[in-house]
Amino acid sequence: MRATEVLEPRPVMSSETDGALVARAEVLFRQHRQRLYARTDRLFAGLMLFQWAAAIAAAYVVSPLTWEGPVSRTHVHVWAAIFLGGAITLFPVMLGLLRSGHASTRHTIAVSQMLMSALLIHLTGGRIETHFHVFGSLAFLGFYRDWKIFVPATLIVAADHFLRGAYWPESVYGVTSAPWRWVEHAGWVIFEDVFLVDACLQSVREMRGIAHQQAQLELVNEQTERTVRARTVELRASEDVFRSLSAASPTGIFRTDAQGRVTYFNARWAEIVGRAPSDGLGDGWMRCVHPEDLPTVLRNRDSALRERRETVAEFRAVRPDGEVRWVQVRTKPMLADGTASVGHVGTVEDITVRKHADAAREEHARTSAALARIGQDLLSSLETPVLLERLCQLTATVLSADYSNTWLRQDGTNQYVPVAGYGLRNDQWDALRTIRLNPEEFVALLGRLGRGMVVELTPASVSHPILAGLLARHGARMVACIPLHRGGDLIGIQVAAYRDSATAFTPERAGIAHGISQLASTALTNARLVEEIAEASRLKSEFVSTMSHELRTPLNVIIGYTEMLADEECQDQRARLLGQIRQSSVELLDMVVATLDLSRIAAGKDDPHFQTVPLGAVWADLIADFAAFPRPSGVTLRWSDPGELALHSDRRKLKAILKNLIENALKFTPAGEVSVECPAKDDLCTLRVRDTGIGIAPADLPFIFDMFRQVDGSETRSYGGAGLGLYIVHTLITQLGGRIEVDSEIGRGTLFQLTLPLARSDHATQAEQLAVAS
Amino acid sequence: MSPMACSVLSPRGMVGRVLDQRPVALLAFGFAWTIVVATGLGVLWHYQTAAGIAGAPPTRWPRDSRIVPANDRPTLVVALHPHCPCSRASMEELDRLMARVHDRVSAHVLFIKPRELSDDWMHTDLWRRAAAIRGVAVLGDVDGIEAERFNAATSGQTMLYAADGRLLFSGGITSSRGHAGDNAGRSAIVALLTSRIAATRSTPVFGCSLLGAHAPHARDGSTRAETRDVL
Repeated sequence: MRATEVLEPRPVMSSETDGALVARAEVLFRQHRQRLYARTDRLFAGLMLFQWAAAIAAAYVVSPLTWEGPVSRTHVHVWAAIFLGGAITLFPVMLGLLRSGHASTRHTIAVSQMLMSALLIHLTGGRIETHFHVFGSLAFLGFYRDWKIFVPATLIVAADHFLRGAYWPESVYGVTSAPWRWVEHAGWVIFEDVFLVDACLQSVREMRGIAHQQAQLELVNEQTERTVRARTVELRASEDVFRSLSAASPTGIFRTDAQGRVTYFNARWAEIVGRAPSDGLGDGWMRCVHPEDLPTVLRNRDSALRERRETVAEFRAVRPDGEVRWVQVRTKPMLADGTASVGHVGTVEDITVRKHADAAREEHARTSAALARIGQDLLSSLETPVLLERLCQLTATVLSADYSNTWLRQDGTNQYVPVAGYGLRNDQWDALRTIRLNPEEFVALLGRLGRGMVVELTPASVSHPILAGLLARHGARMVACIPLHRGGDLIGIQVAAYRDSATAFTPERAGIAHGISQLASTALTNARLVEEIAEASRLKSEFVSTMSHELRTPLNVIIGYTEMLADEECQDQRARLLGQIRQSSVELLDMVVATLDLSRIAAGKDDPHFQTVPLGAVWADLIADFAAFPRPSGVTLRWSDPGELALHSDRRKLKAILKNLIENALKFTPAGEVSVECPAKDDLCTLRVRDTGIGIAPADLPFIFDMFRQVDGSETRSYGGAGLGLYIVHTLITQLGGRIEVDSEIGRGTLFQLTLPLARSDHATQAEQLAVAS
Repeated sequence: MSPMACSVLSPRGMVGRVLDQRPVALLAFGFAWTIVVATGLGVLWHYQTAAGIAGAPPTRWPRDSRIVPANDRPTLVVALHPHCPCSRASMEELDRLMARVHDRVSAHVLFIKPRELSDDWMHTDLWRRAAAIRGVAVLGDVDGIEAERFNAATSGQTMLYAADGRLLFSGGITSSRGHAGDNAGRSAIVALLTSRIAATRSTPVFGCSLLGAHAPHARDGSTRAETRDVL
């Protein structure tokens, strides 16, 4: 049977199962058949009521009245249709409704249906169409699929035809001469019965087959349900495992349906986006996506759904508190039967740290590249003016500033002066160059710059009128001040100004600014070192020239006087000439000694030997030395009485200091007085060498203690010397833990004042204190 | 069928329970139903086969008849009540009859009409159907005067007169009330017109009374017509 084949494959069954299957199939068959009987009973109940109504209507239409001349009354057929039809119909209808499914009911219905055919034949005057009612009724009775009900139906038809044939043949056959015609008619009915019975038996067999298949199906379903229950338990356990893993996963996990709506989120996702997992279900997750990234995310999702492919996307998620986090989402399609997508599964990772690290790395790379360029450009020149000019240009370019300028602190005045600029008009630059910033007026600003900070100024944050005026005049809405250092000392300010934006520096720009600060400081220091080296070279050349000059002069004297001694005519001046020769030799010796001292000091081999040094003994030595020291006749050398003062010092070095200062004073004092004083106070002794000589210009004062430094370094200068004396004095004073101060006025003389510790028990500590203070 | 199935599947009322619990009651119901139905069918059968009053037409063509008989062939006269439902079968039989012998007979159909009624009362579907039959002349018969000349009393009464005026046949051409089909009357007429040999010369007439209380037999108290040989 084809229907059976459709239900393949059958389950494998045991003999016990077969028995249960047969029993169950029988039960199902009986139930089905019983339902069919009951349903057909109710069907016939309705049909017969309709049939009754149709019979009444037919009688009323065909023969409503019977006449006697002009007088009419209701036709007997109408009453017959009503009452006889009702009698035929109502009893089986009652059984059909109240006892549906009973064999007696359907047999009564079969009989009643055939009687109704007889009535209709009467009512229609034996019309041939009403004979079809017999065959139609038999066909309808076939709905029962119970061949036995054709027996009473056929008997009724046969009896009716027999009686009509016997007593009133024309009423049913329309002919008068066919006494066995009823057999023919009954034969036609039986002919139909044969097919109907066969159809009923066939139908019953099919019902049994269906029942058997249904029983099989139930059995299969039962087995399937058992399997499904087992699988469900396994699936639930698997889901529990999945949910446990998902809950403990450090990665966000989600699942979507085929339309991309989220059906599951784990707790980690909720932790990343700061929302409850239920908030992300359906399309709720879109609220977590940064609005700028959402269109791209949706395009990617739709594309992934359409093409059923794996995706990796990075976008920003916005937490309820406004915090933005970078997430990386990976999705993979779930395919049913290997082709149809039933959704996606995916993971969500918080990559904010990595993103920030990437951004920082990129920023650092950009900063490094910019600074490398700056460093390359800045360090390519060691000339300060060129360097400053490039610094301004690079600062404006790299920091995208509208203009830039450099302010350097002037030695001596400590004022900050603009020394280079870029981006300003000439008139603006000319006006700017005249401005001087006094450090005491910008203590707070310079303090922050001194700590290495890049300070951003806006018109609103600036209160000083000079700075406010500068910002207003140049149209700057924001100015960044970049410190320039030498060592730990703030030596200048690099300015980058912006006219169109008051936005604070990004970390990247701040980093570049700090880099500019360091690179510019280094470059300026290098330039300064180069300048100092050049200056030292110049001074050394000058020293060589001076030394040559200084050595040549006494040597010329010695040579000249020696030649004069050889001359007989000068024998009377022998003593004076020898004295001159000796003086020149002594000068040469002093010069050599000074040079040797300088060498020892430079080599660090001349450590002081501290001891108690009575000043009176030092005085005695100095007085003896300077007794023979040539000096202008108008110059008086006066010594104050040291009394019992004693210093904790190195006698040789102390003597060298005082001798250098006194020789210097005598050299530059053409007339007047040179006095040596030694007032004491507390634990300190002040040694003063005062002269009334030519004095020192204020501009030269900072350099007088430099090596090879002479106020007049020309070869035609009026005063000799190698320029080492005051340098040696300053170095030795420092070694002895003292300090030296100078006060001078052109034309009125100079005062050198030494401060040294007195000899006491704690002299060593005091000396250290002085050294620290110095 | 198991009782359980019955209890599950059948809608149960009190009558149903009684019928289930007492088979005798079911048998009694069935028996009573059988009696009632059989009686009803018997009554109906009796009515169907009950003939109307058959008048005795004159054995010779009535001289005062307005109908002009054919002198070269027989003349057929059918008296009909225009509203008689049973006469539809008579009309069908006349149609069949004329289909076979229209060239052998001159046919006239009389539709009676009380004087007080309009002609519309007479012009029914029967009138139109009669008029449509080939070879048939339809006539209105006020107060049944013409029918009375032929002594016709029941709708459907048919009379065949020979060309010389002799009555050949009288009776109905249906086998029962309103029942079309082969019948003795039509067979006799066909036989008379074709072979002049008929099994019968008169048959019962099934139909409504043509004139009711105005009929001659009603006025003179004549009895139901009897089948008789007029030849």
